[in-house]
Amino acid sequence: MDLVYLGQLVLNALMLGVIYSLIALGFTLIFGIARVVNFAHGEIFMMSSFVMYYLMTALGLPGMLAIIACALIMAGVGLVLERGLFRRLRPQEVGTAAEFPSVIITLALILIIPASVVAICGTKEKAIPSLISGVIMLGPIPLSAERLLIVIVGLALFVSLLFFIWRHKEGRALSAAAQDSEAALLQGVNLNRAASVSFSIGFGLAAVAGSLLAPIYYVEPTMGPSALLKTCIVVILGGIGSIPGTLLGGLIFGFIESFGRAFLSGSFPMLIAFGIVMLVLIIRPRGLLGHD
Amino acid sequence: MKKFLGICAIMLTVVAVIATMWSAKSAAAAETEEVRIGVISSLSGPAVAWGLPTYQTWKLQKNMYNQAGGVKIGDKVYRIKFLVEDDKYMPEPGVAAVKKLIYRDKVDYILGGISTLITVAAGPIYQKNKVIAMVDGTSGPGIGPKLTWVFRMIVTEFERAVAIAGWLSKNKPEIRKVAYVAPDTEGGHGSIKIFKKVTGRVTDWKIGSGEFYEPGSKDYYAVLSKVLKEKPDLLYTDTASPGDFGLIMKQSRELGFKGKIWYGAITDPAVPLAIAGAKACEDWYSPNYPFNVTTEMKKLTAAYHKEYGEYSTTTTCICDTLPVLIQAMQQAGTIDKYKVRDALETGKFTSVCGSDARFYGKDRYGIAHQWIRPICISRMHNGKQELVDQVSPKELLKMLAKLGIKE
Repeated sequence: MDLVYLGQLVLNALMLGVIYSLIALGFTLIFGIARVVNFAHGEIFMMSSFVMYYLMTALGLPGMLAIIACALIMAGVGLVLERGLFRRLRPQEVGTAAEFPSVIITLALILIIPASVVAICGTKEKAIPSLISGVIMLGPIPLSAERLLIVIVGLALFVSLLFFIWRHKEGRALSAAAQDSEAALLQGVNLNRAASVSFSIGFGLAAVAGSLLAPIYYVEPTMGPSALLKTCIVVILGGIGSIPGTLLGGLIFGFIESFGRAFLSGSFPMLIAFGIVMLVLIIRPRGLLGHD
Repeated sequence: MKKFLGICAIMLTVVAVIATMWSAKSAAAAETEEVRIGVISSLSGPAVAWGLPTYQTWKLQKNMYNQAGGVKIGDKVYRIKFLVEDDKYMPEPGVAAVKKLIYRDKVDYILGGISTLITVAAGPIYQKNKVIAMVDGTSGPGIGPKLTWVFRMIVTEFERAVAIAGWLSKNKPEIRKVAYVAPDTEGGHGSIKIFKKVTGRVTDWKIGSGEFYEPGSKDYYAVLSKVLKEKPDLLYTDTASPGDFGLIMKQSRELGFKGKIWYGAITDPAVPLAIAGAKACEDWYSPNYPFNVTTEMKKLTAAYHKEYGEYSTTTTCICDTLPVLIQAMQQAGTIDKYKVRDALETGKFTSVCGSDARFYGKDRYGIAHQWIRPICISRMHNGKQELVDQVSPKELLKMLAKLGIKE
């Protein structure tokens, strides 16, 4: 294998890894704090892409402004859903996870959201203008400027989120609620507010992922399930609820795909990824960096 | 008295004139008859994006014939009447639709049936009831020596591949090495099988790397990095959706590929162009028929656009079905199905895409019921699709001879 090709594979793996981590970030945050397994995460990601499409094409907003607007809109959607639906289903007893009823809600959203999008927007693929065009050469290896932007923004988001969780008062309250809700409540943390904030940020992060990725791919109503599948692989590998774990899981998955395809074709790389996920579940069920 | 006789004469004259006009109208009505043609199309279900424009195109053509006063067949003039059923792109409703048209509506001619499963299931019914079926599915088993009443009206990917490979090999001698990517599906593998067979015999290209990707994946960097590392001159792909094809073009250019791209299917260029951008689409070759490829095509697609508010590439694919049936009836001089079938098998026709169109396929399919017509070679240049050349049926048959396929 020549070095240029190897370099291309490594670069592909890193870019894919950050992309997958970005998609999964909102999911892990919502579970980590609100204890809701949001199976509709892929559909939220898809819906965000459509919002981005209409912000840029119908309203003519420039790229970065459209991303911010999309994130704010979807954060609002997350807030409404949490207050209107999930809060009512949260168990009264502190410390128990909001499991079955919330799962049913998210499963219902898996049906409702794409059907609504198809009814409003149709089924045809939609293209969004690139946020930035051009190819940067790293020696003999080409690197898409658009993907480089996503990697930079993605890593910046991770760092910002970690800073928020570890350093900011609000973030530390969220972290406390995630670790021990009863103790956090005793310390004066408003658990409902924590859940609302986590949903807003989680949906906002899904929106950033959807709006950053929409221009490099295209937008269509059936893109949700694929995003959810990749999210599940990433969070199981890295540890559900762990932000550094999400980045690690994404990078591992990116490397599996990139190098897997170098040696195997068809669906074999995905088979390997699922095989590794099963191994992780058996050997270390909480994931590589997950908490108990 | 004179005044009374005068009034009577005037009244008799008026009555005579009215009677003459009335009998003339009746005579005219008696000479204009109706030819009833069944239509099955996917008006709902997963193939509605193809099925609906198909039906709409045929309906438009039917209306154009009728608005011109009907079609003259022999010494009679016929208006065309459609009896329409929805096959839902599923075998059971499709066969039920065929049975309704044959047993309930008693048609002798049926247009449509893009699903090969439906055509294969309905084939014995067409055969038993001796109904001429002009089908538009592109897979192999749709026609055969046991289906003497079934005619396929779509040029299949095999004939398209032969035409384009032959043309590129002859006109672009700089192409020496080719690579391919396709979805890891039955259709994807089938298209690559055809591609390899055709290029191996019709060209002297070296087939380098090829990869099958997981359907639904939007990131092709890993797959494309692998096939493009050998620096092919041409990248071939087929059966990808227009959106996925746009991504393949875009991502291959981002990875530094500067060669030609050949996409085997006919597709609306707007979607890949919007996704990949004009620069990435440069030198994309396809069998697309530009909407103005001939005067007839321009007239038809303009009428379709006026009626339905959009252009459809489906129109360019299926536009020969009804006109060829009408031409066969006119050549036979009757709507008698036996004579019309003979005319279909032996006649020469004018396609909407040009003349010298006909049925062939005795050697390849066991029966000469496969439609061939001028095949367009289109190229995307500066963001616009342009017609580069056409491969006539005669030239196509010469290329097929290289594969050992005679008439």
